[in-house]
Amino acid sequence: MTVTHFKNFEILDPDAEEFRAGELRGGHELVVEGDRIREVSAKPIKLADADVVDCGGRTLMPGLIDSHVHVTLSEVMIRNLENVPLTLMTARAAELMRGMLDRGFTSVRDTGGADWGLKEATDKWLLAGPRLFIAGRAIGPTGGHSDSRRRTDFGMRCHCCNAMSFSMGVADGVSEVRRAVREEMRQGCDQVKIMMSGGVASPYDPLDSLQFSVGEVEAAVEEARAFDRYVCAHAYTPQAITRAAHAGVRTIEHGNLIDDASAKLMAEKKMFLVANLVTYYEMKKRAGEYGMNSDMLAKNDLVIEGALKSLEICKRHGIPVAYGTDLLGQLQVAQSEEFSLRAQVLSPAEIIRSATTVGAQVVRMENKLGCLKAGAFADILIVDGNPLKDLKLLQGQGQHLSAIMKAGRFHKNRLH
Amino acid sequence: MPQQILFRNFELLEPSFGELRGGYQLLIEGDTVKELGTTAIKAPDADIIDCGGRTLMPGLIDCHVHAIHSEVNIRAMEALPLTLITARAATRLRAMLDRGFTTVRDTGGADWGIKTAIETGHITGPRLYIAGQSIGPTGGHSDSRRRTAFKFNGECQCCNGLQFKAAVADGVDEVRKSAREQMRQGADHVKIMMSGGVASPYDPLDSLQFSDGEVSAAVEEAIAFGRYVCAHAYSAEAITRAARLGVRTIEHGNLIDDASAKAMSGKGMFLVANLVTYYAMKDRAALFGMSGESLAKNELVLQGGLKSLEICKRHGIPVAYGSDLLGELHWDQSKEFTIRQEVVSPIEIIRSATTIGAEVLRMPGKVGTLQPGAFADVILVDGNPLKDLALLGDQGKHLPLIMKAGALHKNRLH
Repeated sequence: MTVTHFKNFEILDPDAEEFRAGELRGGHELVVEGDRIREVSAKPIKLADADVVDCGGRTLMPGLIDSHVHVTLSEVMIRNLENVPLTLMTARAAELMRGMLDRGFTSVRDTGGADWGLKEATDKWLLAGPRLFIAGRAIGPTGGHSDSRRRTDFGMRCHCCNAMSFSMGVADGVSEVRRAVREEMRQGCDQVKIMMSGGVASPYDPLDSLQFSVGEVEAAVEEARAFDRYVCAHAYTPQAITRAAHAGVRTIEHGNLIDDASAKLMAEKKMFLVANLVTYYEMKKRAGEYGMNSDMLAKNDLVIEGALKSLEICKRHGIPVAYGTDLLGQLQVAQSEEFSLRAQVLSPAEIIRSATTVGAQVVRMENKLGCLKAGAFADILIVDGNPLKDLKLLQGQGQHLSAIMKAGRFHKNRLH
Repeated sequence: MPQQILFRNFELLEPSFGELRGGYQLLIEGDTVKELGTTAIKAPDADIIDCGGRTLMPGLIDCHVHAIHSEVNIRAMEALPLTLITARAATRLRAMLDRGFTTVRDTGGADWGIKTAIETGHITGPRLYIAGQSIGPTGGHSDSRRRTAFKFNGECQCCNGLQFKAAVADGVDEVRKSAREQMRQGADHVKIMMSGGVASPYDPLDSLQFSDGEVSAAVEEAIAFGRYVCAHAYSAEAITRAARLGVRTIEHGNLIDDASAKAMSGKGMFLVANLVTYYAMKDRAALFGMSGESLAKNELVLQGGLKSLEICKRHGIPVAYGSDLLGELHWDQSKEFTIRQEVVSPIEIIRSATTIGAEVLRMPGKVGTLQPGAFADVILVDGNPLKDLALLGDQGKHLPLIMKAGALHKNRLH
């Protein structure tokens, strides 16, 4: 088994006390064996046969986690995916996933679209990309946020004839929802994604629409729990968030319009918010160029305002907020801009925790991901400077990352 | 002006010449060969590549591959979704380009999505000519279903790799429709099954597949759309029928005899041979789950491989370079060069993988040559392949430079 010995770095450990104060510690060494971290020590470690990596005083930190991505959605205008066969969808996903890993995201949670085939392809390094936590298809009701069909389309195509049908599931009624959830879990999903309010990128659902009845949501939650999975819900409005919390949903995706009452309920239920401010700013700037229509852009304006405020509300109520992006197609290059957007209301330490320890809790991999503990997966970044002082070091498409390791294997290493 | 690259200081292997010639220079502009000559070429803005006296030749062409067949036991593709099929195809296609194959002809499986992904650079691989799904009759070489499976499981064409790679059609109308469908999906050629095959479970090797009317319908539609039909055929009888019904290329053809070779000659037909796959299957296919029935069929055709090349030579039938390797056997793609040496001269083998391949693809002058106007598909070889064809092997180890359409895939000459 390959052993890699990292020396001469400042350690950025999101669990450490000084980290909260914005400080790093020097004098540590770290050893990776196989796909795991074997040892982290404040004293020199003696090893006979190891590949030594001298980090030259740079920062060593855990790989980043993005808890809301869509690797198969290679078009801003979702309906354009109707013209994309799965072969081309996969080839494009390969490029999108490589870009994520290049930016230092060693784990991502796909909230609709990626299947077990892509997961296996990245696990085996057939495709260079982050570790994937998948939902399979995102499940929504007829006319809801999962339903991008034209109004002139009736019935559904087979689920694999094009990238649009592949990424969305439509189910109506308790029995269909139950079956759809079971099907995604049979297909290896890590989390079940359901649509509980209107969305920006779908054509015909009002943003404040409530999607799925209580019985349908409860069926999804019951099935997910029975299979040891959990439900994450797309929801913008307080009403949708409140319904989700009552029905046993574990994570709220987006949540821009959250208010104190719905936040209080989420806190009681120990739920997570996965926020993704960057997508609204990017859509406002550039989505028109890529074919997004004015109805969608109008819905975008309804939620962009709430974004920063939602972070403040969650902070007040002690709700952990994970790092998400949710960028579509050509906008995905902006994945790391979420860091600077959040810096308007949060400290760098808080933001880095959202993309490490909080993300690890969301994907239920605490102490395995987003940290530098012995036994954790060896997902490691070497940063040219201290990101606690300058979050921009995590931006620029990975240009300030001298090395990127995923599961003990270097994706990039400039430290030779 | 598009980027220019000037190659200097090389021995030229232009397949039509028949031997290496020194003193040439080659100018690339954009994706095309602009100039090839023995006088110094003036190109003040060009990047210069000094080839250090190595051999420069056109990129290789493999006329029979299956980019998406990542399992030796075809039926195992039933358990692979198209995402994983595509991810594996990306690995296979990159390896082909690494070996110097800048153009390949897929004879069943690769679709316009993979072709487009290569053109846009999302997948690194050779220029791809596609058939879409290969078309065969129920129970024929395209039909890898279990005997307990009916109606293709009632499923769609895209739920898994097995359904995706091939189509089953019965009767003139269905064959006509299926040929049209492949062409609607961007097929460069239409692939039909006309005899039994090795990797299919239940069809005897000497079975005749499709009736005359079905074959004629496929040929009629292909010609009407400006395409042509290539036919999988082993036995002399199947080859003779294909020749009579207007098929343009015979794939495999191991059991060809003088009479069927005579039927092929004078019609502008080609044989695309692929001896290597039979040797590789004999060696290693069982490891990867190929059944005893398939291995027994392999024995029936293995013997004919070298003999078929001799017969075609005698009858003046041009033979293109093919490999047809399934799954993990794909690493043997370049061994076809050395296997053919037993009966064919090195220059003829190189022509099979350049100029003859170009004719099969209906791209003479555009690929398989370095004449002006051709695509700038160039490989550099550490030595003279006419003296040692093994230089084209070892996964591209002896190729310090590989260029496809003017873009450098590999360049170790720094």
